[in-house]
Amino acid sequence: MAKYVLDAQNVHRIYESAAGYTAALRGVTLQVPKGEFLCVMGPSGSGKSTLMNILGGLDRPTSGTYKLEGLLMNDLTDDELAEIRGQRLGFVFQRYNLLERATVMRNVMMPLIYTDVPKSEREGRAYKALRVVGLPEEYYDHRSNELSGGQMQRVAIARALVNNPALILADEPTGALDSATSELVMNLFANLAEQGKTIVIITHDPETCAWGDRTVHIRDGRLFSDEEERALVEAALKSNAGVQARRGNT
Amino acid sequence: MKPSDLVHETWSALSANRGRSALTILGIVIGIAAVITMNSIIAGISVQQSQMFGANAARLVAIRLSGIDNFTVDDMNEIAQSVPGYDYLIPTVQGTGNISTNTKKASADVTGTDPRYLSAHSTKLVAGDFFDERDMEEADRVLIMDEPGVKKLFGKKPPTEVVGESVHLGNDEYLIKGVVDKVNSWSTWGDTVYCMAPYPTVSIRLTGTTSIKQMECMTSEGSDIDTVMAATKQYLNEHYHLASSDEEDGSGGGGSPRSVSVTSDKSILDQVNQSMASFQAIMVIVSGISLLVGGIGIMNMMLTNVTERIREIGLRKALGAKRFDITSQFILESVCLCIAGGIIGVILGIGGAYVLVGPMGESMGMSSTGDPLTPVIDGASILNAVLVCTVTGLIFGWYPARSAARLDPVESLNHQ
Repeated sequence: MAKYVLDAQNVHRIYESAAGYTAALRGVTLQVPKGEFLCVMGPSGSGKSTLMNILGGLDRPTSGTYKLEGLLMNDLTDDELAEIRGQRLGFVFQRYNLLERATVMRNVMMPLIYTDVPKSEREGRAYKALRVVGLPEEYYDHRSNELSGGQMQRVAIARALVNNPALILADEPTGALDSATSELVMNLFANLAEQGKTIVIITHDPETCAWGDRTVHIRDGRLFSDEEERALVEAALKSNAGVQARRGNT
Repeated sequence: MKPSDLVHETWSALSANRGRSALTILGIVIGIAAVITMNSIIAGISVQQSQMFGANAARLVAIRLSGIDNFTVDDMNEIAQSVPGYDYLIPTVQGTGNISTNTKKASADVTGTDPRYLSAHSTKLVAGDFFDERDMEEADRVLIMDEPGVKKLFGKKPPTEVVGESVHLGNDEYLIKGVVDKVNSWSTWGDTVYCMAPYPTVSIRLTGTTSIKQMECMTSEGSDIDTVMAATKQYLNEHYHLASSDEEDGSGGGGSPRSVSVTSDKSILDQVNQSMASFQAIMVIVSGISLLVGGIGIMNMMLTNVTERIREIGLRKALGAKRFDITSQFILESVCLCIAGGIIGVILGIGGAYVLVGPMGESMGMSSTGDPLTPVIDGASILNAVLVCTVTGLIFGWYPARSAARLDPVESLNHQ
């Protein structure tokens, strides 16, 4: 049994384009033990989406290693990665990404159609996941486009839970929600973490990070711990104060 | 992905865009409808042709002798024994006269033949009996009428009641022994009544000569009719020192040279079948073009579909769909569209065949021969149509499905 659910060592991701090379991740090292609720915070363009894509097996690192439950993900084929995503990962997206034409139940069951879970088990699992996220049963047969934003995000979380994944990855899960609904959704993640789920949330919002066990900061493709980030900010503030003082003297 | 899930996902995707799906399959519908309509009508024409000529028409050889007297039944049997490939030979003779009942009178055309005539042709006995060997031996004055003839002479009286009635033909009285459906394909035309009688009766009482002038010869099943005809000509030439001729016009009066004509309806049937086959080939080309255009329409729609559903494809991949899952879903959508088009096309094609068969039959002069032209719906051509649609769906759905399966999940999820 691997010590960490997620173990990324010195991960680099470099994009090649006509304009040249762009380094989105520069030597990221991250380890998440089972049951941790981690927030990765950073501004736009810091590389957090690239990190989520690699952690979610949607992309591969240019260099470095990434292991999910001890399984090295670097050299897996597209179909092998797809199988891992279907069995060990749960995704929650900012814009929910539900199939509008399908009912709530069908949306929640969707990851299971790509696994070996027998049909007879699927509905039971979907019911269980929907009960965990607290969506009233009267909505189960509704089409997803008949729901509010908060309800849709609950359905998306239920979909991420339905295959009982090793890791739930959420990309700005409250980005499209008002503050009251955001609190409800984050409360839900906190409850899941209490039940032992391993959760990684990518966000730019400090309030979201307040719900996690730990926060790491990403800036220019590099990760910093809370302490490192604080030290960096303090150093920057001090440097700024020195500059102001010199300006005042002159 | 299980097949039942694949079917469910496909149905869900197609039913979400019903209007567009319906418009997309229009080309396939038209192509298949055209093929089924034309195939059914052509098959109907073929059936009518074979009914007109008789089921054994392709096996029958007609021999006409000209300028030869005293050709007897023994001479005829000699041909059957000497020329390989014949099952039997039947003498035939045409006699004419006036036929009358107590109330009606008409001109009659009487074919003198023997009992095997019934099996050689597709003529069916509907009432009474056909004449037998005893009638032949005794040259009995018995007559076989046909249904159109009965109608002309007896009005609405049913054939069963006509059997046993007496009629006057020429100078004699005849007993109606049986009624057949049709003596020939033109018996519904005009006022002439067409009948059949034993060969000796007609030759003695109506034509006044016992020498056989015409024979109908049934070749054996599987024998090559052209070879048998050539052997017959050679035999007759050698034995009767004739100037052979394939033309019927060679016959004539006493002054004409002795000649023989050996002909068969097979060449006519072959010609008819050849024209039908050419017509069918043209239809296959036209429908092939239609299916090609329809297939391109399907491909176009599927490519648009892939573009519109890029985020969905990205989502499915993120949730665990493999390339094969995406490929099979889009291919199945394409195949289902084509099969749906094919089924609608088959239904419209069958309907079209029944609507168009009347005007087509009239323009081709088919309905004037009596029986109306009816389309023949062939199960094999329906099965072929569905198979062709499946293949069209596979071919034209493959490229869009492959494009969908190759999409990058990250780019797809970020697609706006």
